[in-house]
Amino acid sequence: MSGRLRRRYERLLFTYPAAYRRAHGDEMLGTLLEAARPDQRLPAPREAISLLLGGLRTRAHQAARQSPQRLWTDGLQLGVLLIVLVNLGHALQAPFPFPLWIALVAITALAVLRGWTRTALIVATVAALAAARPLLPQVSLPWWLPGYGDWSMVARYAVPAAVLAALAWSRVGRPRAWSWWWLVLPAAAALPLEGNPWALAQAVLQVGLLLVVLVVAVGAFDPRPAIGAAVYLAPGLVYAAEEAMTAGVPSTLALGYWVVLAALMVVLVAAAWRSRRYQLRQLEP
Amino acid sequence: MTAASYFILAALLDGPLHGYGIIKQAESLSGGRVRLAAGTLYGALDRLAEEGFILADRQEVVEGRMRRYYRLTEDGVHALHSEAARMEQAARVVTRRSGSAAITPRLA
Repeated sequence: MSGRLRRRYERLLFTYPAAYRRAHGDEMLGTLLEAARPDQRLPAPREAISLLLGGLRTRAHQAARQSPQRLWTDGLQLGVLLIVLVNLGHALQAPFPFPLWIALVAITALAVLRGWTRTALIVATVAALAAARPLLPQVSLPWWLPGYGDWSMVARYAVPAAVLAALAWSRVGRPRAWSWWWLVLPAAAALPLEGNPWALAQAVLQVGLLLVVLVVAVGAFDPRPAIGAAVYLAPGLVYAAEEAMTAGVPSTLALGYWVVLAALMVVLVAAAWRSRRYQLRQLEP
Repeated sequence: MTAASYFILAALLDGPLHGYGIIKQAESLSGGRVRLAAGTLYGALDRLAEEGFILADRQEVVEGRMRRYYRLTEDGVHALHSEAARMEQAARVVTRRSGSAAITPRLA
C-alpha cells in the first residue's frame, strides 16, 4: 500500500476538527486504506469530496452543539472581518495617504482579527462616524480624514460597527480570534494592480469564492460562510444603489447590477437559513 | 431515516462490524445501490451513536490499520424494525394497487 496515499488521505482529514481527528482519524484512515485498490496512489474523487464536505459538516455541527446561535454569530464575525480587512487594504492603497486614518482602520482590523470585541466596537464606531463626517452638513473636515463624499464609503465602515454592536448586545459565545494568515487579504487588496486583466481576475476569484460558499452551505450544511458573504456584500448594495441614483435616470446597467447583487444576497441568506435549519434539526432529541 | 442509516443498521443486524465491513455489507444488502464513502459513513455513524442506535464495541489493529467495531443497541434494533414495518406498509399501498391495475383494462 502506498504511503503516499496514506499521507494524502491524512491531509484531507484536516477538514475535520482536531478533537474529532484524535477520536476517529486513525479509524477513518484504516477504512479508507482498506477500501483502496492495492496500486492506488491518489484518493478516490468521491472519497475526497465526501471527506471535505463531511469535515466541514462536522465543524458546523460542533459549533451548533456548543450554541445554536453560534452559527449566526460566527458568520457575522466572518463578514465583519472581511470588510475591515478589505477596508485596510483600500486605505493603504489610497493615492494621498492619511496616516491617522490608516492607523484607525488598522486598529479596527487588528481588534476584529484578535477578537477584542469591545475595542473593535469602539474604533469601528469612531471610523464609521469619521467616514460619515464629510456628508454631515455644517461640519468642517478634520485634516486627518480623507474626504469621502458618498454613502457607499460610509456603509463600508458603518456595517462593521452596526454588526459589532449587535454582537456585543447579543452576548452569544466568546468572540473568536482569527489566524494571522487573514492579513494576506489586505495585503492583496493594497497591491497596486490596475487595469482590465486584474479587474477580471478579481471578479473571477470573487465569483469562484461565492460558489464555494454556496457549495459549503448546500453540501456541508454550514451556514457561516454564506452569512459572512452576505454581510460582506451589504456595502456593495449601497454602492450599487448610489450608482443607480447619481445617474439621474437610473441606467439599465446600474439597476441590473443592483438587482444581481440583491438576488445574490437573497440566495446566500436562503442557503444559510436552510443549512441552519438542518443543523438545528440534528440537535433535536 | 435515510437510506444510508437504514442499511448501516441493517448491516449490523448479524453482529458487530468495523467501518469497511459496514460499507461492504450495506452495498451487498442494497444490491449495490448504497455505496458509502467514508465521509458519509462516519457522519451517519456519529448521528446513529448520538441517537443511541449503535455503540462502539471494541477496536483492534490489523496490518497497521485501526479498526473500530460497532454494534446495534436495543433502541437501534427497535428503530430498524419500525422503519422496515413503515416501508413495508408504504410498499403495500402500491403493490396492492398494481395487482388490481393489472387486471383492470385501461381506457384511452
